[in-house]
Amino acid sequence: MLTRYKLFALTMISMLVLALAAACEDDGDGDKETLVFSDLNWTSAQVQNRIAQYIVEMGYEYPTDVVLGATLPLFQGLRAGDTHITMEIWLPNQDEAWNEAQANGEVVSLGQSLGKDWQSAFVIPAYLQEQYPDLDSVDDLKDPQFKELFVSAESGGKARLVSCVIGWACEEVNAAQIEGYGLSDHVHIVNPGDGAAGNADIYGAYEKGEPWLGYQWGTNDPALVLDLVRLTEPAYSDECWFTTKACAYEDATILIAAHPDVVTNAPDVVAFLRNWTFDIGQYSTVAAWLQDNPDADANDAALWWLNGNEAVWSSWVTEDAAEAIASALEDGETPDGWPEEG
Amino acid sequence: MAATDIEGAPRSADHALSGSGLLQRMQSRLPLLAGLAAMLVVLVVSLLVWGPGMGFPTTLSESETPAGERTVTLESTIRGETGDAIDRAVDWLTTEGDWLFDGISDAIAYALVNIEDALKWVPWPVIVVGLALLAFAVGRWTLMGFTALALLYLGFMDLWENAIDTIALITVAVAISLAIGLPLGVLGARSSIADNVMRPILDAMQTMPSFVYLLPGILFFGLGKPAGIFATVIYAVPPVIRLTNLGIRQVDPEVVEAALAFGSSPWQVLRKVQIPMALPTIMAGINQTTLMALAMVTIASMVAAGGLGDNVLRALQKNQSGNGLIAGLAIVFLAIIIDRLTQSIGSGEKGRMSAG
Repeated sequence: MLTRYKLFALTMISMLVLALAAACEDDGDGDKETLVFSDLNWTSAQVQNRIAQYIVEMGYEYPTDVVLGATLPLFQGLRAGDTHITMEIWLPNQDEAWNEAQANGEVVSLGQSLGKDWQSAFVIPAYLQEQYPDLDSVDDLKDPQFKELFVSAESGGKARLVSCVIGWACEEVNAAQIEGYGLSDHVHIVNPGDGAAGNADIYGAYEKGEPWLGYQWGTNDPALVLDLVRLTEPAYSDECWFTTKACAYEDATILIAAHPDVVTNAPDVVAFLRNWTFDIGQYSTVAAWLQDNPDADANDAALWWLNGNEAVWSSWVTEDAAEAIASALEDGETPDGWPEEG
Repeated sequence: MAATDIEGAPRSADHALSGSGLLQRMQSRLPLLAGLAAMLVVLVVSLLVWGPGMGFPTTLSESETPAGERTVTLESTIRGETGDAIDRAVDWLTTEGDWLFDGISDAIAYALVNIEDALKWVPWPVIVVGLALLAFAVGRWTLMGFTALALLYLGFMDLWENAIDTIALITVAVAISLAIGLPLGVLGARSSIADNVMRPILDAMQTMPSFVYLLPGILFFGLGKPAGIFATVIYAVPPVIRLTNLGIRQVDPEVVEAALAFGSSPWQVLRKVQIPMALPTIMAGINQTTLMALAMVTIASMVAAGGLGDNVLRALQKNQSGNGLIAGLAIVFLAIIIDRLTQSIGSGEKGRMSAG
């Protein structure tokens, strides 16, 4: 007689067998080692990862994977070799950690990504400048008429300025700039403890059409998505930067970095990454497309960009690789290493 | 199963041989067997029709978007559409509820700024000595010693001003929590419907990851102390509601009946019988609410509410474990002082009552 124990055992065993069979199916990825990308938790880094993954998988036939995380843990991961490639190392923001890792031979620079970017500046929404055309430089914040616009209940009669995330390098730089511009008595600095919180503040003000004053940088989502104007600041010079900081930021340097193992294990991928020219102009077309297509994720964005910019990426890779990638795009293939959604 | 076996054991010798006994046993197991059979059918059918690794249908529609000479297929998903609908509602509330949120925000900021200014105006020795004496009055000399040392630690570690910001933040958050929580607790105790409605909401408030409601909170209030208070109140208000509710429900029904029999109005019963008898439990709720408010200071700092959370966040961002621990300990010390002082005041009252 089939007791329920036997029945239960039978069900369990059959399920186990099925599970094992399913698990065995996707084995045998060839002999090339998997390249793990650091999936930094902001959009530009993820779009760059998806594009690079596509090229690496389809053109050079290395399996790829991603590890999602924040700047600091992922940089530790890269140093330890848990991840292999990071598409965005922000300098001078990460100067200290970067220099130390490079000196220890734990990371290798493969050139720049997202070049030609404006780094960081104090901005106001464009609609505000239309209303007040004379408000166009940091100096104008001393004018009571403009200062008044940004006063809040907490700011003690000063203009509320949403600065940089607590503990980031820009927190101290911005504070020094405010002091250097002679704005200490006119500006009340608010530092969010998290990037997403800072973004939400400007989105909220923009939604309501309210005055907003704060710090943004070229590749941050609000800067790409909203219509913002930079207030003019004294131009950058080494002399002022290393003394009073009473001048604008220098344009950012964003590096592609790899763990040294990659240089020996995947020299062809290294050569391709050294040719990388995806710059801020390219990325802003992607950001605009993402804005128009709210259903799209980073995977879709990468696919969209790759399909429309063959001339750009084919200059980065060997002829054989370019052919393989083009035919993969033609067949609508996607890399196995892409996360389900991202 | 075990129970029926034991029960059936003495009779098994007779019944095992008789057909009716077997039938009976089969019958008693019929629902189980039927359930397993149904599972098996579902398993086989889904494997045959969809194969292993079957996924849920989550896509609503697909659309083609041009990309160069080819196209990219975009999926509209159930989750995506639902999320967009919620976003639209939040956007609507942001613009339409502007006057309300601005009013709340200004009132909170005004209260906080004044408390901070007042506490920062007082010379620090006055606060140290005053709180130490208070600790001695309600506790023992050990509490006094601890209070004095902990406050000096805050001062010499250059955390004094941020600690005052944190205390102001907690004071306002707890005051708002009590203003909301005590009446809701009473309501929950009086009406089972209200209790059943509130319970899952309170569960959600305590388990929902803070940033899920904090981002809309920032859209409404903007970065700053009011958003921090908003986050803190949501996290800290459940204990005082739950324990007020519990305390009043635990009051002996016969005592309430007696009070009613003597002609008390429901309001009098509440004020003169139920609340006094529930007071120890309510005080425990207030104590828990205060400590939970303190636990939120780091989250509050994420929305620019200031205070000791700033020091913790800064240290962590810069990978300075030592500074992080110093600031973390400052929060722990504040918590211990507040906990012991409020507890001693609560039990002190009880002690006096029983002594008298």
